[in-house]
This record gives sequence, C-alpha cells and structure tokens, in this order.
Amino acid sequence: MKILSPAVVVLVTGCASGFDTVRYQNAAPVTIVNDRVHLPTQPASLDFVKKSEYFEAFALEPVLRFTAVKPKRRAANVSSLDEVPDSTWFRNRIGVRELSLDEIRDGSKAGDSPMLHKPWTIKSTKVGGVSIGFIIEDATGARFVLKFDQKGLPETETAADVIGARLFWACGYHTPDDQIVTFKRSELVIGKGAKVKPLFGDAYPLTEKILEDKLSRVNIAGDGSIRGLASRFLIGKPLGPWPRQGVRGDDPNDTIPHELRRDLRGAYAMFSWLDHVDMKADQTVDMYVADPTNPKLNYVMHYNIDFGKTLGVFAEAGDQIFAGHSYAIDLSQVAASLMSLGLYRRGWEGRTNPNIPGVGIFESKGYAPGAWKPVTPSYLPLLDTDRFDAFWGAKIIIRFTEAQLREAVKQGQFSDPRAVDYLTKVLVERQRKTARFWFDLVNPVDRVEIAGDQLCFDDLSVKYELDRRPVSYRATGFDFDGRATGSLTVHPGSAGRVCVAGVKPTASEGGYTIVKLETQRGSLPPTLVHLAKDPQGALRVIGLRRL
Amino acid sequence: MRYRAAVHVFLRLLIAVAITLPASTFADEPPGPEAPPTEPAQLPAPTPPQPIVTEPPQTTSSVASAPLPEAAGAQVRAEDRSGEWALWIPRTLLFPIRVAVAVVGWPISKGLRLLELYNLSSKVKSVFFNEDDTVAVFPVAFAETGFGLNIGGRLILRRLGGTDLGITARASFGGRFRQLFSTKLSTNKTFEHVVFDLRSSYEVRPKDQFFGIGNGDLLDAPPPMAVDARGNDLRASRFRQDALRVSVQAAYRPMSALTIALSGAIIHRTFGPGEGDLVADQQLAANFDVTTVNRFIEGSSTTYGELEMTYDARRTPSRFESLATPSAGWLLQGFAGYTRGFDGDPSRYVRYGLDLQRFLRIEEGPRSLALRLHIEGVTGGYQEVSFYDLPKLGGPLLLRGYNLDQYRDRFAALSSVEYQFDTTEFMGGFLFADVGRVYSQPEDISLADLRLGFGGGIQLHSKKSFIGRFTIASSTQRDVFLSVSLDPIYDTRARVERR
Repeated sequence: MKILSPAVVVLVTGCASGFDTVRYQNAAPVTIVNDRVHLPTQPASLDFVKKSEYFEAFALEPVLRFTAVKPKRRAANVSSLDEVPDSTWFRNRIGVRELSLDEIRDGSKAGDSPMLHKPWTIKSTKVGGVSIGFIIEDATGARFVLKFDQKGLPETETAADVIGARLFWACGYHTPDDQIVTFKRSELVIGKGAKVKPLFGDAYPLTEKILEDKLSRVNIAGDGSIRGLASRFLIGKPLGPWPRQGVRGDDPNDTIPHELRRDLRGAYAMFSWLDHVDMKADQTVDMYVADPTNPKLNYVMHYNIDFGKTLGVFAEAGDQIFAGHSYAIDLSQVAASLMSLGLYRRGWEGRTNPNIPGVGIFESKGYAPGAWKPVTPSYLPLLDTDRFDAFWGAKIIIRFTEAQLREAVKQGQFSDPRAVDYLTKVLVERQRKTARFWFDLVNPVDRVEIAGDQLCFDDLSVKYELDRRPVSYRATGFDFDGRATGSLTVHPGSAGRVCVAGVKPTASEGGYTIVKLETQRGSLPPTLVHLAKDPQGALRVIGLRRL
Repeated sequence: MRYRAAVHVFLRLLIAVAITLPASTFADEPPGPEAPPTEPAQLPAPTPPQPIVTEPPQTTSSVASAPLPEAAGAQVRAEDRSGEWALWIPRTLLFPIRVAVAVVGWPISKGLRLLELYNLSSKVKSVFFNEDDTVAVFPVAFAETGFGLNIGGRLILRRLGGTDLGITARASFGGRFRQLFSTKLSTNKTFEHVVFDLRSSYEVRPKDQFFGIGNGDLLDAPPPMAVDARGNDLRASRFRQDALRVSVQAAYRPMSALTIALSGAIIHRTFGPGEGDLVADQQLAANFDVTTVNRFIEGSSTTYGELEMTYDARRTPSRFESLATPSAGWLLQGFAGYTRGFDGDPSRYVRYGLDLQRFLRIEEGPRSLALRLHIEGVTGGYQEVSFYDLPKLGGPLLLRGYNLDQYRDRFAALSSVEYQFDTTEFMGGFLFADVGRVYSQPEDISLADLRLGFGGGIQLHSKKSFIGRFTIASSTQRDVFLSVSLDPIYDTRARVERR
C-alpha cells in the first residue's frame, strides 16, 4: 500500500475532523505584554518619502502582493481571548472600562494648555511641508507644534484633530496632547536665533517680515485673534514612522510583523468610522523614551498623530469628493467605470456637503464600512485587515455613548452651534453602521465568563439594539480532541446577556472543555469558547476562538 | 447686678452696630496727600505645570513579569495550515511576473526615494534654469505615430528687463520635422488685457501626406500613371515641405470668456519629393499629376491677415472635477482671414470658419456630452488656393478614424458627438463619433457620402490641466488608428500657428 505524504495525510485528516485545531494553555488570559525591555542603543530614524511610497503603493505592491499568493493570516499579537494586550502600541481603555466625560474631554492631555502661559516664543518653523506651522515654547518652556487651518476653511482641521485625537486615545491608541488655542499676534514673539527650516536647503533666520507673510496666509478673526492647534512635543526622541510591514530591525521589542498586528489592522474600523482617509506612514511616529520611573531604561513607544484630515476634512479641504470611497488611483474602480462606459455608480456620487462652518464633508448615508478606503493604499496593515480585526475595532467603538461622543466633539470649539449636533449625530450613525456591518460577519459574542455552572456572554447586536431580528442560540460541548459531549441549554436573558447552563468540565486533561456557541441570526459563524479548570478546580475561560 | 446687665446690653449693642455698619464707615479717613507710587508687586513665578494623570503609567517594572508579545496567544496547538502547500502552484506560475515587476519597479522606487531625499529634481532643474528662473535651456522630445522621435532643445528667457516680456526659442530634429526652428517673443501679462506675440519658424518636413483633393475613396494600390489630384479616388503619397513663417498676433481679452485676436503672417513654402525611407510609388509625383496640385511645383509665398473671435464659456460646474474636463457651457469661435500671394504667387482668397462646441452635463462625475460643429472654407478657386492651404479633415483632431489630412477641398464640414466620463481623479474615458466630409463648394453641401469615424479612449489629466489622450479610432474605411495626443481635442491655437 502506497504511503501518502505527510502533507496529504494532514490535509485529509484535517478535512475529515472538521473541527478547529487551535488549543490554548490552561492559564489566565494575557492582558498586558512586556515590550519594554531596555534598549540601550537608540534605533535609527526612518524617513517617510512620499514619492517612493506612493509609487510602491499604487504601482508596485499591488502586483507583488498578488503574485506572492500569501495565505491570509490572522493577527499574531492577540491574547487567547482574541483581544489586544496592553503594550507600547495600545492600551485598553473604553474597550474594557468606562471612561468619564472628563477623560474624554482631556484625552492624552499631559499638561496645562499653553493658553495659560503666554507669550509664546517661536523657536523655528515646522520643517518643510506645505502648511504653515511653528515650533513654539510657552512661558513655562513647554514645546508645541503650532498649526493652523487652511485659509478659507476656519476651524476645520484644528477641530477634526482634537476630536480625532481624543477618540483615538479613548479607543486605546497613544496620541499626542493636541489642544485648540487662540492668540493675538502680540502674544507670539520670535525667539533669538529662530530659523525658517525648509524641507531642503539650509535654514535661515526667521524675521518679522517672514512671520507676517506666513501669518497673512492663515485665518484671522475680526478681532485679530488667530486660532491654531498646539500639539505638545512628545516625550523622547523621534524615530520617524514605524515600518509599514515587518518590524523595526534594531528594536528587539518589536517582534510581531506590523502587518500581523491586530492593533494596527483592527484600526481599520476606527479609521473608517472617523474617515481618517489620510492614513499613511507619516501619520505615525515612534519615540525612543526613557521609562517614567527609571530614566536609565529606554524603549520605543508608538504613537498615532495628525488627525486634522479626519471627519471629512480631507474631502473638503482638498476638493477630493472621492476620499473615503476610493483610492486616488483605484484600478478596480477605473476598470469598472471603463467596462461599464461610465455607467458604474461610484460610492461617493451623491455625497452631500453639510455646509456648516468648521465641518468637513462627513455624512453617514453613503458610508460603507466594509468598502471604506483611505486615499492611498500605502498603509499596509489595512490591506491585511480581516473580519476578526475589524470586528475587534467595531467592538471598541460601539462602546462610546452619545454623551461621550458629544463631549469629544465639543472640544472642537465650533463657532456654529449646529456643528456639534451634526457631527455627533453622524458619528453615532456611522458608529452603529460600522458595528452592524462587522457584527454580521463575526458572531458578536463578548464578555464571555463563567458564572457558577453557567457560561454567560453578551450578544452585542442585541445589547446595542443593532439588530432586532428574532434570534436563538445553540451551544454544544466538545472535549479537547473535538469529540462532542452533547448540547447545552441556552437561556437568553435581557439586554443581550445570554447564559448557557450545565457547562461541566470534560474528562480531558485539566477538564478541557470547548463550548461551541452559535447565534442563529443570518449566517453567523460559530464561536468556540475554551474552558479548563483553574488551580482551585473551578472552570474558567482560557480561550476564545472566533470562526 | 443692674449695672453689669447694662454693660452687657451696651456691649451687645456695640457689637451689633459694628457688625451692621459698613466697614468703610470706620475705615474712612480724612483725605491726605497722595501716597507716593510703589513698585508693582512681584508676582510669584508660575507654578510649573503638573502632568495630568488619568491612568497610571505602564513602566518596565510594572510589566516585568508579563509575557513577551509573541507569547500572548498562549496556543499549545496552532491552526491547521496543512493545505497551504497548494499555494506554491500559483506562486510558481506567477513568479516570472513577480520578478519582472520587481526588477523594474524597485530601482524606480529607490530612484524616487533619492530624488526626494536629496531634492534631485531641484538640482536637475538648477542645471537647466538659472537662480531667478528667468533663463532656461533644456532638452525636449516627443514621438508621433507614423513619424518617429523628435529631439531637440528649448531656450526660454523670462521677465526681460524686469518686465513680463519673454522669448522662447526651439530647435529640434527628427520625426515629422527633419528640422524645426522656432522663436517667439511675447508680452505675456505686460499689458492688462492684451497680449502681443511675434513668432518665427522654419520647418523642414520630409514626409507630409497628400491623398488627393476631394471626398473620394482611398485606394491601396498606386495608379499605373499619375492621375488628376481632383479625381474620384484618393491615394496615399508623401512629399517634402520647407516652410518659413513669421507671424504677429494681438489678442485682446476684454472679459474672461471673450478674446478678439488680430493676426498677420508671412508664409513661404516650397515643396518637393518626400525623403526618408520611402519607395518610389509613395511619392506624390508618382501618384498625382503635379500640374493638378496647385503650387506644388512653384511653392507658395503668401501674406495672411485674420480676425478671430472666441467666446469660451466652457466650465467645470463642480470644484471636485478637473478643470480639464469641462462639462457645461459653450465655445464659439469664428474667424475670417484674407490671403494674398506675392513674388509671383497668384493666391487671392478669403478663408473663413466657425467652430461651435457645446458641453451638456448628464450627471456628476462628470458624465457629459460634447457636441461640435466645425466648418471651414475658402472663397478662391483651385488655381488661387495652394493645395496645402485647402481646408482639411482627417487625423486625431478633425475627423478621427482617418489618416491625417486625408480629405481636403475648398469647403469642409464636420460634426462630432463625444460622450465623456470620469473614471478617477486623473483619468477619464470617452466614446465619439465624427461625421463630416469636404466639398468643392458650400453649395454642394449634402448628406451624401458622409465620412464616419468612431472610437474611444482614455484621457489623462491633473486637477487643473490636460495631460494627454490615448485614442483608438476607426471608420467605415476599416483602418484602425492608435494615437497618443498631447494636444486637447479642441485646439484653440491661433490659425497662423497651426501646421
């Protein structure tokens, strides 16, 4: 008898068993990881080179990715509960605890507003770039980057930035302390030795004339006040953006390829919700920091920055109505348009502008959570986002209450009272649309825990009233080897809380038990909850495998 | 006892009065001399800002006992990936494409990286431009289907003497032009509403095309002997042309949509046998009796004066659409000019014409229809008008789907409809149908024997300007033409500048 090759044997047996092969350690799930091992040498700075990155994104990488024929890989940095542990990349906040309105209002605030410590001294201009900006020091010596709204579009970018920064911070990302400031010309003084720093070429002295010329290109109110965004300098030494794929080679703490990081891939849900269409490598920055309690120890912290083009501001400021619906060069849409001779209707057609001062082209009617695209496909983790990543992100954003969203929006300090109501309404609509979409693709069970001899969980679609279709649940037990042990009784409770009774440890080692939860609504795939006995002999949840 | 009680009452009263009376009652003092000025009180130094702590920081010590990132998943058995070996099959099949793209693409990517990191484009520009951007010398090149590559150089002088005057000079060789020299002096924005241009050029065009005069069918085989150029049929042939031209134009723009241009030119042309890789029966003289091709032997020397009015109200209704894709409005252009020969050239005739375009917006995108009517005619007879100056149809701009200048006669009429649609911010598609023909005279206008060209293509543009068009065109003649054009389809250059 011919012996089949191992690969074929595995393939055949894998197909025959039909049960997921993943099993977990009998241990409490990980909620935090140690990626703060001391890094004695500062890693090299990386550059963001736009032309090269755009060429790769539009011309090179699509072909290389297609021809690589790589299998889709699930995120590699998730815990056994399919969650993201705290790290230098992400810290669980609204996903795991309630956030007060004060916390939403303050976000990552790290000190007093510079408004309290004037005058401000200009140390230099922002390096290169098209938009105007300065590096300033307030009267206490704290340093900020001072940026402005595009002329003719007051309040838009500054508001979007502070709102976006707070919401991303609340989601769990590390963001800078961005605050809206207003000042008069007399409160801005040129520091001794202040320079203009062009992107290329030598720096030269910043004079009053140059300053006046630059300020003439920002919005100035009738009373002479100027509105800006003060972004507090991040602590540490900047290392440039994080690599779009792979790892930072000279950082031993960076061990998970970025295209496999849940926190980067799962941000797709947040980015689409907030319409962060300008997402690319230079919206990220790594900082080489000293440990807060032991300055002799150093490691790299990872930040998301620059949210000024969220909330539809990019479409408004750049006259690019397609933003959020299509790449700037989108071959699939080009092909569809050409083959249909222009009859193909693109997602952004019919998009409306609310025409509220300070508010971008931000609406929910045409928003498609699964079809959202940034303007360039250059931020590679988003190309590898799978439904589990986006589900994780959606699970986080659905936790924001309307009051919390309104509190964040209020930090935009809009002069038009309609702006807060409009943006809050659209954020809520997009939030629910995002959650509804991803909760239809992944069984939306959450907060799975053992209570006595019951296994209880939340059905998020019911909990957040996203789906009012009739629903039933089925639970089946299995042992470690995937052998069924029998059906279990399900007791749907109120507000989406469901409990499964009669969950007992199996005869497998450690009482290893797998409960397959099926939510019978639409065609949702099941979720496998892995249980085992803790040292005290009680069953506990040790793993969650979404299928 | 009564005395003590009275004292107590009096004290209570005194206290009550003290409480109820305003403090100033007691504080008032008789006015005295003004107190000397004092130094302002020294304000305490601002308290250094305290960091706002909303959550305890995570530190090396707080996470020291936590697992490393790669251990977070705590899987003792991973997912089954046994079926992935099959992916090697498509991977292997696609490998040559992958290598080819990588070999071509990575050097471009690295080159772009160097270009930006070291600002090479600015450095390259500084090789060709001076610091003030007022003098530039740089190479130019373009390719034309059927003609080949033209390479040369251009000199630009801007802001002469601190004014808006500018000079452009160009010399190039190859392609349609064996030699091309041209100069232009322009006042640009020196005057508010008027621009004066003075141009001169000398061209040697070794392979211009001539098919005959009239609306006949194009035959493949050369005739057994040279035929009348105004016969029933057309034949493809080539000839050489040397053209020396000096022109002056004053364009007045009283408002943004209206331009009135007065032009004058002196043009001297000589003609001869075509040059280059041609066989004998491709020559004009082999196909046509040169005595029936007016001025072919003698050449032409003419002066030309023209008045042209253009009303250009084409517009882009939405700020989200490219300025290169107008989808609404009109273009109306009319001209009348007089040609007079000199140095023995008997030419005496009026040239006239009209170009009417209408853009109809169907939907946002934009999706639009561009309608066009073009007529051009000369009043002189065949003996008064050089064969070269007869109105022409055929080519990528007028009557697509046919050879360049395939039809020529004393009167030409063309109508066109083009459906344009946007595919992305930088690219659009189009489908067109061009219908027209030439006539011996306007009185002969009829719908008989109309020539129909059709096709489509892709247009590239930026947010503000046209970049180029790739067109596939065919016709009832069944030839297929592929053309890449860097000129917008609706040419608004002065007539004295066109070919």
